Amino acid sequence: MSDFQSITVSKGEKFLEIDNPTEYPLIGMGSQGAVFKLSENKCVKIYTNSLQAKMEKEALLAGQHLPFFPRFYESGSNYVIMEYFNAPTLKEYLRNCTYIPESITKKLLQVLSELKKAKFTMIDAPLRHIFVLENEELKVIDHVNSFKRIHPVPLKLLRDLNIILLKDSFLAQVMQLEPQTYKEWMDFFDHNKMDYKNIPVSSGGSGKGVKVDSAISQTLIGKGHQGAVYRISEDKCVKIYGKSEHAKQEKQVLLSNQHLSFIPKVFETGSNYIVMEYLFGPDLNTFLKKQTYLSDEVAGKLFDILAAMKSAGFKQIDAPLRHIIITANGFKSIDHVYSFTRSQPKPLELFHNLQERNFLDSFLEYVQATDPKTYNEWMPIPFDENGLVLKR
Amino acid sequence: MHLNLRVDPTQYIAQIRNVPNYDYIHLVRQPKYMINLPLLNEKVRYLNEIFSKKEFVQKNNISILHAHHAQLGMLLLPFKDETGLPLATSIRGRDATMANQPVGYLESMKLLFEQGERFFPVCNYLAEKIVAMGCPPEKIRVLYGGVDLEKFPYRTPLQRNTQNILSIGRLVEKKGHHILMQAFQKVQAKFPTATLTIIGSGELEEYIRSLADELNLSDSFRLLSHMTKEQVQEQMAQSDLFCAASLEASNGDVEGIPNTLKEAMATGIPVVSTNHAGIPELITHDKEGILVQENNVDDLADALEYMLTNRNRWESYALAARAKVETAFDQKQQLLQQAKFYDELLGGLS
Repeated sequence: MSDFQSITVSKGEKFLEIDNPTEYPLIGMGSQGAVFKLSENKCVKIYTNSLQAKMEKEALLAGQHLPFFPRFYESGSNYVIMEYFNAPTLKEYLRNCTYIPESITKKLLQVLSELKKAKFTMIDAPLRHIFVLENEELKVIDHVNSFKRIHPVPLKLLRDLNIILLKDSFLAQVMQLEPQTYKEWMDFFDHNKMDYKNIPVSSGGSGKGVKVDSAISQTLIGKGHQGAVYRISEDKCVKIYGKSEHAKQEKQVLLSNQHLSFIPKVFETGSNYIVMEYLFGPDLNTFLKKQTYLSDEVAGKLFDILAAMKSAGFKQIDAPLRHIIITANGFKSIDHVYSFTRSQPKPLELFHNLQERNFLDSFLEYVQATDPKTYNEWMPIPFDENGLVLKR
Repeated sequence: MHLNLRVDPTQYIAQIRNVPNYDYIHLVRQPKYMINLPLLNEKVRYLNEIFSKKEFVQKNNISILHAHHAQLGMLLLPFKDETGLPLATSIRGRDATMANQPVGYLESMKLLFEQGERFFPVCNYLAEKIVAMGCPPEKIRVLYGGVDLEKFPYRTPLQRNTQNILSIGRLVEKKGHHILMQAFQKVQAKFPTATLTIIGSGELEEYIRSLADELNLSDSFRLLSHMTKEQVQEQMAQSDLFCAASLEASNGDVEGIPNTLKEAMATGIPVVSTNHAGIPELITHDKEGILVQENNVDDLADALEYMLTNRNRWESYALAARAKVETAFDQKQQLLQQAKFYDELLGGLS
């Protein structure tokens, strides 16, 4: 079985690079390592960094007395062999559930309490790391950071439950079953309330997303290359930037174009943040996934945004579908950091996105019919050798 | 505040937006469920984006929560808990079966029956089913779904030589399209120019197309998908006979009372259907149409043949059918009834 050692896992530009000359199937991959199935009850996790292999081994050994820990079998400088579970994750198990079963809440609370008792600092696990065996027995994997990160409150668990709309019923049950735990969690959130004027968001460096503090992740709406967005009230959110230069650029675009219908309203700005209106609605990419054709109404509204950008003197004329939010007050466009600084006369990312949705042709037909001049300016569209629109 | 599955014209919009004397907030679970632009307005909101439930309720002056499916009622239980508002839940076919339901469904249903104030099953059949599942009968008010009679005006059954049979419904097992197709094939022996049109889309599309090939239905059969309401009505106008071959699916999934059947009856198209779920509450056999045993190809073929042979009886069926829809399934009346149920829930009437 030791031939798994011929597998190499190393850090690539974006993802892990894996060379697997063996027959062992890859069953999981994260940022630290990759997991291969060795047999019906064993798997090996191979790490890019030997320190992490050591951390996982130590955590596993420290938790061997806990019933929900995977059995530890063997380790080496860059690998750990442990128990393999052929079972659905809790996320899969709860699929389509609209009220969390009390039996699951009880078991989760038990897991959390035992982690605490065993002096782990990470009293948390995301749904994808929890497996549900027969008789609803839970098993929790990935303990690399069990003694490193400090999560006295199950932030990841709550965030994941929130995404599948089960956080409210989970908390309602926690309040009933363990009122003291519930109070501790609520106190934690009260103490870690968002203070956007003084918040740690750091730039992840070139090509990487920003890093945010997980203690306030419950209100995180989204994060990208330049900043992270948090909800701060019913109708407001704040975008916090890793670099103040980006904040300055976007501020300039937003403030000088508040009269344009597609620009979100700005309420307040600081050197590294902008408070703006919270936009309710699906993004256009999500919306178009459910449509069988591109209506003239959608094409028209999209085109109006591009035309307004041009006449307002934007240098970057583009509207990626995921950056258009369909609200009751019309289409809104977000992320304008480079609108005044990056020269791009053709909306290539939009074309690329529309092509993915199979609506590029109908959009171009619409533009050709309603504004032939613009259509001609957009032609020709650059394609790569596979016929896909080149984004730049 | 209404919570339904999608902002989409097929999802009982009238029961949300046109209830007399009641304003609305049209809530869906997440923005991805807003799939129809013409229906978007400032009253469309998203459950997962409500920042503070109490503030939301206060700001929008909400007095009742109405979930339009059982699973959505469960989802609103914590909301109800936090705001203290009464919760009404509509019960439709899928809600009252254990088929393909998520883990803990029955347990959560019991909790909903215990904590929810009102249940609006769409027919008596489903009312009995939820009583059997543990719903206290005093919380139940049967609320039939209505048809907009102005949109489906009556016309006398067509007296001509065509035999165009129409069926409308999602391509899922409980709609019984496969039984209808086999019955239709039998009918063709006697009526070689008869046609069958099925309008719908869904998971069984491929199966239905291959079944049509297998049965050699060729040009006499058409499957139409993704049609607008106007296009559907046009198809209705051209059809001689309407059939809903509903049945209990192998996983236990059932119907309530199919709306398309009510619409066909309002229009004056003679109908053939099955003794399934709530359908006998709409059609009495040989009065407003013909009913046969569900999941029975021979019975259904006989009924279709009987109808095609006895055209002289169509008008009496059609008139009785229209009268039945006007009496018990008129959308205007049903929305008034819904408003009365809300009044009662708020303590106005008992």
